[in-house]
Amino acid sequence: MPKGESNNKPSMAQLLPLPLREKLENEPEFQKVVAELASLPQSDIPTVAALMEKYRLNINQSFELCQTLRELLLKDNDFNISGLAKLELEGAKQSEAFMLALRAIRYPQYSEMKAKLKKYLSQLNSKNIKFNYKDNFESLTLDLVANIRNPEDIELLSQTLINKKEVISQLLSLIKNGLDD
Amino acid sequence: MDSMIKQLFISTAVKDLPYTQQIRSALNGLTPKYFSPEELCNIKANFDRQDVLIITSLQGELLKDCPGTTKYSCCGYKILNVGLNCLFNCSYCILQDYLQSKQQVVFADIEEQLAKLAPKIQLMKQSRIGTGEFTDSLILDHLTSLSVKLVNYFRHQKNILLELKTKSTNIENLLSIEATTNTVVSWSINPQNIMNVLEKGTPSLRERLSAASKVAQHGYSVAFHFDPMVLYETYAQDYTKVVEAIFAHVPKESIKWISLGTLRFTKGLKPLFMKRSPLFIDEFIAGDDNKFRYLRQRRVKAYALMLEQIRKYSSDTFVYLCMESQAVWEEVFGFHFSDNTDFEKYFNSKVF
Repeated sequence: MPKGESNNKPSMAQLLPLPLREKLENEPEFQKVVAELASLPQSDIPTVAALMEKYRLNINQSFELCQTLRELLLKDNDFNISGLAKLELEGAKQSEAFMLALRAIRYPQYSEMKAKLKKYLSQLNSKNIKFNYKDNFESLTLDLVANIRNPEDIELLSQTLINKKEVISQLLSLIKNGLDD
Repeated sequence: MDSMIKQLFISTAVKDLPYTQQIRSALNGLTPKYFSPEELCNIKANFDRQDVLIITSLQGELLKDCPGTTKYSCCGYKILNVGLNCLFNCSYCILQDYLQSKQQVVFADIEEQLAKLAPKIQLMKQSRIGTGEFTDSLILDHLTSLSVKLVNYFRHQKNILLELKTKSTNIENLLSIEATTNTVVSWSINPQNIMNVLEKGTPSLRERLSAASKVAQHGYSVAFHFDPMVLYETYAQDYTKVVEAIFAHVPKESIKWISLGTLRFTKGLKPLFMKRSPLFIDEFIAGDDNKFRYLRQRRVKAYALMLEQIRKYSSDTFVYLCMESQAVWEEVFGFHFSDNTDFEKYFNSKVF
């Protein structure tokens, strides 16, 4: 070891801000997040830890944050992590809104498709009719579940489907063509 | 590639076999270290380098079903387990995750194993058997001459198509024997710019096509695997040029099949690839089989483009998709298979 260099290199846990150190002590599962944090540049760790604190991310969200940042940094060395602290987020659940915003940065096309899918499904689904579609966009088929209790419901279902034909068409087009629809 | 082998380990269980002696003699400059079969795990753990060659006996089955994938269409391919790992260094290679070790392994009791397998092979229905899944089929062929053994072994087994899948140009042994009609020598290919970045140290596109041309001229069938296809800004133009180059080098009558498959990863392979090839980090989404792929719509577009380009040169060269969904088959070809048996039957009807 070169002269003057200490062998007391701080451990990953010691580098964590106090609240995360306490979290690690109280929740051993948080170790998996710490292991992921270690793959990020040391200089970014306080910023990342601050994001976990600010948006009150749970263990799985913190883990995903670290993994996503690692990929974003690999793709773009200059990715500005501190910019994530300035996101304008809507909704009461800040943690979920933050994760959505983060995924939209990492997966812009897929996130836009998912947002459209969600919008169309919300326009289609009602108490008695539910359209299902797995959001990895692998399938060409939209599934429909309808509650039918009496023969009149069949007409009601038909009419509802006809009324919603335009949205269904838009949704099918999204499924088939992605954002090129 | 033999100069890339720096250390040789030989199991005492196979040290006297002619195949072992042959490889040892081809690696004349290397003094082997012998180990007892019980020490194999230690050797693997302590010498986990790509330049290490371990000659040992096969543990397990010689003939296996291709692991393929679940929930997507797979073609019923069979693998002859002749060795493990590869001296090439492709950043997308599944072996990084599948084997989790770096050494080259050759199973020296192959002749004994093949003899045991013979009765089963004779009774098998039409099958495609390849050696290029757990290793490159030809990369060590100048040391092993395994291609000669296998071509001759299957020479009269017309129920079998033997596929030797490679990125190498190690074809001298194949050219030294009479070609058979049931051997297909195949190359996985990509545009040169992708080879430069993701397939470092491999022969160039021109070299691979030149090798394919020689093998075809000698009388073998050849095949090409656009797998993995990588999607980037100019991929359409680049892959179009590769298709053009294939048909300029090899007569279409000699091409048994062309496969297409876009880049995909297991959960374990994804971070390895991204670390090694950050330029190609893209939106990889977990499919129904939990492998990460480009979005379906992008894959369909890429496959449709390739099919269109191939059809410009050949209306009947068999083209198939590797590990793709029924939905993708439907969109690209206008039909899909109800199950893998259906796919296998269709495949065989096209190539036997």
